[in-house]
Amino acid sequence: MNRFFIIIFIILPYVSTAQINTYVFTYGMQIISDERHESIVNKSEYGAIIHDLFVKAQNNQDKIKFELIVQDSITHFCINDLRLNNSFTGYFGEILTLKDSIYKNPYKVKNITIVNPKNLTWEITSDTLRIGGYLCIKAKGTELVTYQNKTFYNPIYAWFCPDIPISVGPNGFCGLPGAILKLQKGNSIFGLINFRKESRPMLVASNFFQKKKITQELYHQKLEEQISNFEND
Amino acid sequence: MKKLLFTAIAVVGFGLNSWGHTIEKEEIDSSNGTSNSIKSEIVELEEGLNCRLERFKAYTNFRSQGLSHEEADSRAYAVFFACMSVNSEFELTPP
Repeated sequence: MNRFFIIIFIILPYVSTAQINTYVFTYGMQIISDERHESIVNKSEYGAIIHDLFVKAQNNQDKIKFELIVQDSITHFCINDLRLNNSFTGYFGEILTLKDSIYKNPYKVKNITIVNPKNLTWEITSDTLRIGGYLCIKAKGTELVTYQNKTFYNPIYAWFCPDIPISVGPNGFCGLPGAILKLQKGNSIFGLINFRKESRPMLVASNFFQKKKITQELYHQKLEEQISNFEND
Repeated sequence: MKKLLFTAIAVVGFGLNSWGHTIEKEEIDSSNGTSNSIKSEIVELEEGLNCRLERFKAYTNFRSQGLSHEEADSRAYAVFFACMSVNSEFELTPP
């Protein structure tokens, strides 16, 4: 028994500091206007506030960077600085993707982790684009947004690179036969700045597993309840 | 013994000093006897509640225009901060 502990004692430091092959993707952000944004600015009572916020977000966009760390079938996605105006980026908090599931830690709600299956389906088109020397193929996905019995179909465009055959991408989007180097959703465009391979310690994802887990649907349901309770009080 | 004496003098001295700087600043409103500090706290609380309600209204407005939760939530926060007349929490702060 003592021998067992001695062996563990000797091996543990090596295991805990072991470096493994890691792909690191750095993405930049471009914020663009779209039809929905124009509609809100021109028609909504909050138009002026949203316009101001949009201008500030555009002014800050060059400072925003995201890092996607890939280790085997695990990825971790996060922003470089949460203090930056990220209102139009679609960034909601750090994201961990495992083989079948996506874990999101919303940075405004500290005690929960939103867990969803990887279920976005993509339609691969024949359009191509060269990004930093890599030939990329365009794919289209659709985000279904249901709110108060209305359903909206918001398009998502991804340019993936079959020469980097790992099924990963920014902000939790993945599932294509290659890494997504550019992704457009709503007002935000994630674009690859650089991509490198290096050795890093194994990802420690304990902050995703210690919190209360909740599905996206349940999270929205709770939020709706909270809103109606607040309005009724 | 010397140490004890020194400590006692120091404690009494600092105690008197801090007591000397205590300012009694509880202003009482003569009309209804409510403290002004309590009044301002109530105003702040009301403002906070109104702005929270405004945030929820904005969120509902944005969602009904097809924005996802993430998109609507971040914009609704901007409405909240505008209502509270505070710069957005996500403004870049100088290093």
